[in-house]
Amino acid sequence: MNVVGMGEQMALEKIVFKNLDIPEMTELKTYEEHGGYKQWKKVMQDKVDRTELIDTVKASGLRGRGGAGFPTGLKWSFVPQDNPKPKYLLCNADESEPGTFKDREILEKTPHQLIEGVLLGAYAIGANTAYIYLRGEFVKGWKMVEHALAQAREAGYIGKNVMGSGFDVEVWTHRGAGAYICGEETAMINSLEGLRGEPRLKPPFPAVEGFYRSPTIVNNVETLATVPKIIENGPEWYTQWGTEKSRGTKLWSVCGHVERPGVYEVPLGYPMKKFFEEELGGCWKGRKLKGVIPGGSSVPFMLPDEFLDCDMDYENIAAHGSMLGSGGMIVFDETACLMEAATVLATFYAHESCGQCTPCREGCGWVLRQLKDIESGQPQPMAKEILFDVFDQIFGNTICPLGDSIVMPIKAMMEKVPEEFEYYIREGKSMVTGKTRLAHLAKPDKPENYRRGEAFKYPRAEDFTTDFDKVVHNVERGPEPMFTKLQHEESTEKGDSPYAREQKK
Amino acid sequence: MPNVTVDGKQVEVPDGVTILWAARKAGVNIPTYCYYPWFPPQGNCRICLVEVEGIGKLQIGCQTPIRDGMVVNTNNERVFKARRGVMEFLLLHHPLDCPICDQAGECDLQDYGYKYGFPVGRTRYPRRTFPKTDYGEKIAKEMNRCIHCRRCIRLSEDYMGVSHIGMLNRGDHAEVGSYIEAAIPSGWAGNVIDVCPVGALTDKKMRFSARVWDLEHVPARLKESAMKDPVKCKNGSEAMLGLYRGKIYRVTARMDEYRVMKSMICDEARFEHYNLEDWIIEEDVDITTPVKGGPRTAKELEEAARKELGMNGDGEAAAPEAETEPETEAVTEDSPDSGDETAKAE
Repeated sequence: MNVVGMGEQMALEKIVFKNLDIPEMTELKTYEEHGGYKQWKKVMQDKVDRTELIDTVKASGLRGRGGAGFPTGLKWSFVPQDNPKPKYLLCNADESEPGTFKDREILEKTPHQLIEGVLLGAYAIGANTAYIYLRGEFVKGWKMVEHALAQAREAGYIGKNVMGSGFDVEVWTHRGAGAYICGEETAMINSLEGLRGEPRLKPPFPAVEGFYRSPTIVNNVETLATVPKIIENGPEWYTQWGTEKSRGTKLWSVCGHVERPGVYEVPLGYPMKKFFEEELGGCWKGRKLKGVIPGGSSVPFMLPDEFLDCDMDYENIAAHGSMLGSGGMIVFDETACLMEAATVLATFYAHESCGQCTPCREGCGWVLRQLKDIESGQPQPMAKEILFDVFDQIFGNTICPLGDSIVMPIKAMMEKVPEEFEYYIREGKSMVTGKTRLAHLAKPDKPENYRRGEAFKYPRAEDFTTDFDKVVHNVERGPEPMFTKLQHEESTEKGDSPYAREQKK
Repeated sequence: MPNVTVDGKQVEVPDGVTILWAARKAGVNIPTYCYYPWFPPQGNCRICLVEVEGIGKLQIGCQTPIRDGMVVNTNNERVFKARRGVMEFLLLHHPLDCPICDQAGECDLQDYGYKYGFPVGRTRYPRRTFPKTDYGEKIAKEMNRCIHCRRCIRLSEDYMGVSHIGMLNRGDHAEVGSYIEAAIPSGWAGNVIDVCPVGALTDKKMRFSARVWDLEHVPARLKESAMKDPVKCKNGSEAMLGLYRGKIYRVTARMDEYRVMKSMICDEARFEHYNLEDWIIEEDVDITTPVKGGPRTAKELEEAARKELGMNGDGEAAAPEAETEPETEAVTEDSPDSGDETAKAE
């Protein structure tokens, strides 16, 4: 029963997140019946050593499930215990990536498992306060977590001197106001502090100086919800799944053109082909697969060959030219126009760019306008080449990875399926659907062939010398002759400019 | 002391300084917009990207701390491309109205635009524009020219103690602004003009009346007899006069070679004394060396002035704040700065 809302029997069974399939798991009673809070009780009553907990998580090889895949136990061990400042554990439930909806399931269906993980994590790093930063749109998830927190508080799992252990812990929820960027850990810290949700410069890393300049650990919902099961069954139990570097299981949220979309728990290293064909049932309505974005919208696009060839773990997907990311799989079949998909993605990132650093602030808007222009049928001359230049200027030059996120999927699409983009630029309509989706954005007062500038050549980045002394000289000469000559040729000598044509009529 | 190689030049620098610091010591100029030595680095303009050997990504010079044996390249194609990319992004929406801009001639965007900028615009979209907002009688704000370096915000928050301006909105519509359209409520507000690297914040009194390259810049300080508010002017009037044909066209703070203010000047000195008789011209004065003990906030400057003037907090209430701050005596440990002595010598 892996599929949300669909009752079909699946071969893959949930392991760590069995609770997702059990009804009424939001109630404390049900959760306790299924062995819930047993680990928390044990840790509190036996006063288990912190380092022991961290070592268990380290040995299990659990890696951060939010996207970066940083080993969780190692992250916890970075917290300086000699620092007199209070420590904080932040749970990142600001899941806003297009295509990713695994954390929502946990928040709505088994919030107690998350809370137990938060409590164990807080104890392991020595934090007395933990925050769950929820995406603002998760109203149901927030209500469920608040409900579960109230029950846990009443049962004495949260509060002062928990179960007589002398350990105080409090868990709060905080709802975001709708910014994607607040899913970035330092932006989330800023947002929690009441500042603008903007990423901070690293170093210092949050583990040393984070929330209120105190040592802070930020973990994903899935990561923390996995911790109780690891403590319960031991690291050996968890390491039986996965590959050598990617241990355990991972939740995948699959959407797009597949037969059975939904949230699946898959052992890492599982063959993608098997998963795609047996679990997901292949492409929707038996159509042909065009490509997949495997890890939430901000990772590179994969072609069917690469996709079906890879295994579902961090390293293997990376070796096939993409990233596992947050595990939000978006499947495109042959009826999907990648040009349109690229514009939709760019719209999201241009809207969500926080406006702090230059390349992302200006670049995302530029990419979006460029793509919209192509889709309206009136692309700029050299639209594709300039787009690639803009990608290069954004990638790797920003404070946080949001700038890279707009570049990676769109650039990979344009590199791997260039013919679709070239067709759109050349013909002004989609190769797949035969339509111009944004024709209403075309400027009617512009001549019909707004692309007459195709003969015109914008300079590319490599056209200019990079010698500092000569550049100033270059500017003085300028590219002016190029402009005048081409426009002159077009309008008078050839006589085929739209204006000239109109006059002839 | 760690050794750093910047563009092939070895320099020995103190521990904990940044690449930018080391580069300036080595005589290599790294362009900057958002960096201002008065504030902690923010790293949002990305023009100071440099290549550090052994690190894959380009690093920002203004924030990256140096390590012993670090090799930094600032003059290769990769760095140049990144800088040109940033310049192109910054000029994407810039109105390029330099001919009517008062900042022209001392504008960082102009300077680096000539050096690193892309020679042609590669877009044909309409430029982003913002509605006009009024910042009072003294400061002209032209948001369309802004490059979002946020120096003005940080100066007003950290040094004037007013949180009147901040960032609004998100993405490429982010705007430096205030919800309440009014003058910045501080007697030191004019300093945002001096920290602004472009023409987004300019002097309204001097607007369209002179070009900066015509002005002759003369260090001067206000005569004590001319001061209306000695608490602010005592330490806040070491200024630079912009003279043209014997007339004062503008008053600015004294700046060093990187256009960094030496010390803030008060609004009275900046905007209210356009008569040469009010000023003492200082011939040999050290402009570039920073003030000892670092830049002082408006509050510190005022408190130091109160002490020098022999005013206790509850004494002659020259400033309205004096009544609310009876503990001024205890705080003022600062020595009077060097500019004072030169004035007395004259």
